[in-house]
Amino acid sequence: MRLNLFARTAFCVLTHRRIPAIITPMELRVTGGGRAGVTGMALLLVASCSNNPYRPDETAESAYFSTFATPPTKLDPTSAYYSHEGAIIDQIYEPPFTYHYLKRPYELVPMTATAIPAPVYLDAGGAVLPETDATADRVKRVQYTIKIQPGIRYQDHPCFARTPDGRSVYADAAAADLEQYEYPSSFPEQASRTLKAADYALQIRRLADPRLASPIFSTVARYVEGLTELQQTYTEMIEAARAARREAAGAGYNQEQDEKANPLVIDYMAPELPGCVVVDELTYRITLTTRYPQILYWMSMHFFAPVPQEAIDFYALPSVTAAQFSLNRCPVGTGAYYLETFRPNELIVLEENPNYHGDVYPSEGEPGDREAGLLVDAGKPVPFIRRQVYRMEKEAIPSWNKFLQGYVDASGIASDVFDQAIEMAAGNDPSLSPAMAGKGMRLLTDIRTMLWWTAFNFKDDVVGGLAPERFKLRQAISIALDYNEHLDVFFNGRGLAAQGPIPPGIYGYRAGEAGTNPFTDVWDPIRAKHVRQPIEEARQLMVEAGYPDGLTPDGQPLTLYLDHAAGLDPQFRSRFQWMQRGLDRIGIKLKERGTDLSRFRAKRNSGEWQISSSGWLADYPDPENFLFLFYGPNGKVDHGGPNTCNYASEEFDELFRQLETMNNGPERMALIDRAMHVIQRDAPAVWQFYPVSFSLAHQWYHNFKPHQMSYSTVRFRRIDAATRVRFQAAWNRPRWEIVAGALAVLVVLGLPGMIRVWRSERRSA
Amino acid sequence: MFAYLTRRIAYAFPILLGVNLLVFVLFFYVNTPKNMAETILGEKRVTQEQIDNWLREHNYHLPRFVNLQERFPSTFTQTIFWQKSMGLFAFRFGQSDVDNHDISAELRKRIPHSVALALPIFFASLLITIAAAMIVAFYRATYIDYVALVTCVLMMSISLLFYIIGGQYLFAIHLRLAPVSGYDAQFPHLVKFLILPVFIGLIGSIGGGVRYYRTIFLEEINKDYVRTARAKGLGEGTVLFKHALRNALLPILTNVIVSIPFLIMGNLLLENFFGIPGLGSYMIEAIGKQDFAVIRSMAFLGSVLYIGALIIVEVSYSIADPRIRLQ
Repeated sequence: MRLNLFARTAFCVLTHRRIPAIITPMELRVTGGGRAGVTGMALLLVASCSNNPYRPDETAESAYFSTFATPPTKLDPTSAYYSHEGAIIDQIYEPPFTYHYLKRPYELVPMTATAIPAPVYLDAGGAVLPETDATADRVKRVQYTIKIQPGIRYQDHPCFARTPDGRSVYADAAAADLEQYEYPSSFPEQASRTLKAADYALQIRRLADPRLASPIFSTVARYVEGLTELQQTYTEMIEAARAARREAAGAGYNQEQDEKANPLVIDYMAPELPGCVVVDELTYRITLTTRYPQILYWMSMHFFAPVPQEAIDFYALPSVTAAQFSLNRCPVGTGAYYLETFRPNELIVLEENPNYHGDVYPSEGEPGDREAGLLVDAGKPVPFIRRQVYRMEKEAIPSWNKFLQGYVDASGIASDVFDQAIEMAAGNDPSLSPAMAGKGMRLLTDIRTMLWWTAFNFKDDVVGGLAPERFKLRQAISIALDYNEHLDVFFNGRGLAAQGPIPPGIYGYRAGEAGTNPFTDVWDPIRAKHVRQPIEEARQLMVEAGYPDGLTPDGQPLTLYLDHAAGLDPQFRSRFQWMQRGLDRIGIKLKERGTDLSRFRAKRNSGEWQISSSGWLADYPDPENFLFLFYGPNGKVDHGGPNTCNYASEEFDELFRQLETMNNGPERMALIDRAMHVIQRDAPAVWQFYPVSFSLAHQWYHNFKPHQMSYSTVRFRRIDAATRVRFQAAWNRPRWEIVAGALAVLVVLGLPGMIRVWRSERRSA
Repeated sequence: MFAYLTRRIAYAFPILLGVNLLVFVLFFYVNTPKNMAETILGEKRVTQEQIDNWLREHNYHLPRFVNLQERFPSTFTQTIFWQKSMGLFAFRFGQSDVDNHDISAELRKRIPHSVALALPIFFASLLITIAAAMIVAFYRATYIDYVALVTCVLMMSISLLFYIIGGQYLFAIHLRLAPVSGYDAQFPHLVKFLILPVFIGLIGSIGGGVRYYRTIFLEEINKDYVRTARAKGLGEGTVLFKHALRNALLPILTNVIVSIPFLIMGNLLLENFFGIPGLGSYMIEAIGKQDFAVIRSMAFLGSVLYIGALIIVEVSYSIADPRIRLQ
């Protein structure tokens, strides 16, 4: 074959041949094998030209395709806490309770339990107290007895595979033998067993293992009887075992490497834990030291899901550890799906668990669900989706483009593409742009159970404190920072201006005029939204605070400082300037004090800051989960708690103590209203906004309703794979005609030059 | 040569120790283990006790360099520096600080992905840039040279990020010829995921490569032996491509061999944007998560590869040019 100019040149360079091949046309022939290779490579390249990121026919299955941006690092139900980790393991592990998929406000329903247990209140003598007499001072113990459904089976897993004498079939396996398997799902020997109450008890004990650093330990240990003491016992057991190992190993002992090779196993069940007792094979009892109804919400999270002892033992086998398998990467559960592939930096695949005990699609929802087609599958067995495929996409734009091509079934909307997807007509609800509507997409919006606020440090001499002039200054600042405007400018209007710490969807939130913050906002009945009070009110508050026109008593402009660690955020500068402009209207000069995250944390821990932003995503739908962020004994500086404002109001704290453990009802609502009034008046923070999530779903993706509390909802969703394949083919036909046209133009443009070079070569020859 | 190589390898140890020390000091004096623990454990519901436990579990509760509470030799071995850094010399990279995964195993998994991307770019780029540079040098001071100059400068001036985003738009979205991003390590599925990043990597490297090699060729052209060759009546092509090229091999070899570590260490931008799970994205993720264990391992590996490449360059000099002796 005749090689082109570049190929001839390259050939000469690499073979040290004479280059006159360039200037004197020379026929270079390659062998038949080489020709076949080149042709084969060319054919492979052409045949590979498709924008489909999946293997052929992969999307024709009843599979759900999505993306993830952050690799999950913890899949152990004891320590996983972030939403991207919950999105995986909540489909595998089954706590006793979960949330109803469709009903709002969120309602607990049994998952593996037979029912939601009622608390039994005991007094100091162990006598049962009726609910009406179960006041906080009389109640000394609270018991919840959980009975689980019989016959629930774990996924097939090698940890359950046993020899006739009861040992693990992999007990004597060599690490090299196991390294050939990518994941436990590919091990040849698999088995299962039924779920027992002891598995729940084991997991509750694991929360106390100091090595696992469970994020909820400090919270639940305050309530579950004996959990704190259990952690102390585990610590002593671990330290004793480590001391013995170090003694044997000598000076070069490396604890981390030693325990990687030979995991240090402790018998979780050996010490007593009065707060969690196995009653019988299917029943266990949780005992709390005080009233704490929120424990049921915690028990609907994966922290309280069952873990089999076999899995603990299996992952402690040196050969299994050496082959890089661990409970932190390879979960074992009873849920609707099991993890089939886990490459956290590339691909995560969940498959339907053939041993799943079964569930049915709900037959009830909230008003509007039937009209939205969310009850079409009522009563049908779930899951509908057989396989879930999550591919890593670190950047938002490629992920969005794949959604537009139909290769991802649902997507959020990044700010960069918001205008492409959504039309926000004045006064109207957001709607899909014609381009998106033309593709048959659906838009789903949902107010997130989340709050953003701008915190004032109560340890600061200027903005902190409960004196009237201080809260008037904070109220004035709150009025000057108009978060309706902020939402429009920076978030395409995707949020609701906040009136206090409790977001919509949480008991205690009041919508409409009744929920207005009387110190900073007014209700606009025409626009049906809260708007900030006129700026003149803020200026008057500044006068009352002792800063007329924003001037201090010595005539200098009041200067405040925003402390942050957002220097690398490209949007920070414009947001900061927006804040500066807002405060400038009341004469306050705002400056920034940016540091790295570590220094910022240190400043926050020591209280050396003035103003900063914070956010909180609900763990469960209870007002206590937001109000505790402002409870005095939770102060960051004095107590190391989550109250970063260091807000300490006796009035608020007393109200919080009363409502904290109360059941929902008119009495609790009245206390919440009073607490809200106090905190709105004291204004320890500028209440920014509650974000609204915008999701887009393709027409083939059914039963999709955003859920803020549970991630185990994919089992209720359904995919029409045939429709998906049809649209993917129609939307993604390669445009070879454009390529051919571009090549033709290049040839035409380059032809005169090539002819000239060829003639020059001929003349030289 | 054996003595020379032995000496060069021995020199590498203090360099590697210095690199280790530098990375350690930079990391632990700018960012304390406590800061790392706070970042890794997150913001929500973290207590001081949990932070202390995390430090204890990862050996970060030890003193940095000297442990005065221990007797010799534990005074030095029971320290963070010894426990975390000295194992590297035996290529024991240890565990990630974030999720305890085995770093050596992760490197073994990821290196092939980085190489799968970088190798085609490397060879195609080498072939095209050297060939184009010779053509441009041959047609020096003609319109071909001027057009090539403008084109190369233009190509060098454009950020790789622009090529990536533009390439994804043109080839994946508009022409629909390649996936926007993604990866499948199994052949032949691998091919369709590599076409676009390889093409973009190639485009991004051509401009600078052609200018670099052209400069080398032109430098050789002005030397005495070239004048002698011309005086003997040899044709311009023979002079350029036989005599000049062979003498230009040393800088070409240097450039080629010192690129080898980068083939293995991965391309940060391409891997990140195309979702290729190579070492480049591993490093980016580790920095983002403050995973010191991974960062120090990557820094050490990079140093070893670079030192190794420089030794190979020196050996290759003596092979390419018999006048050079390694003593």
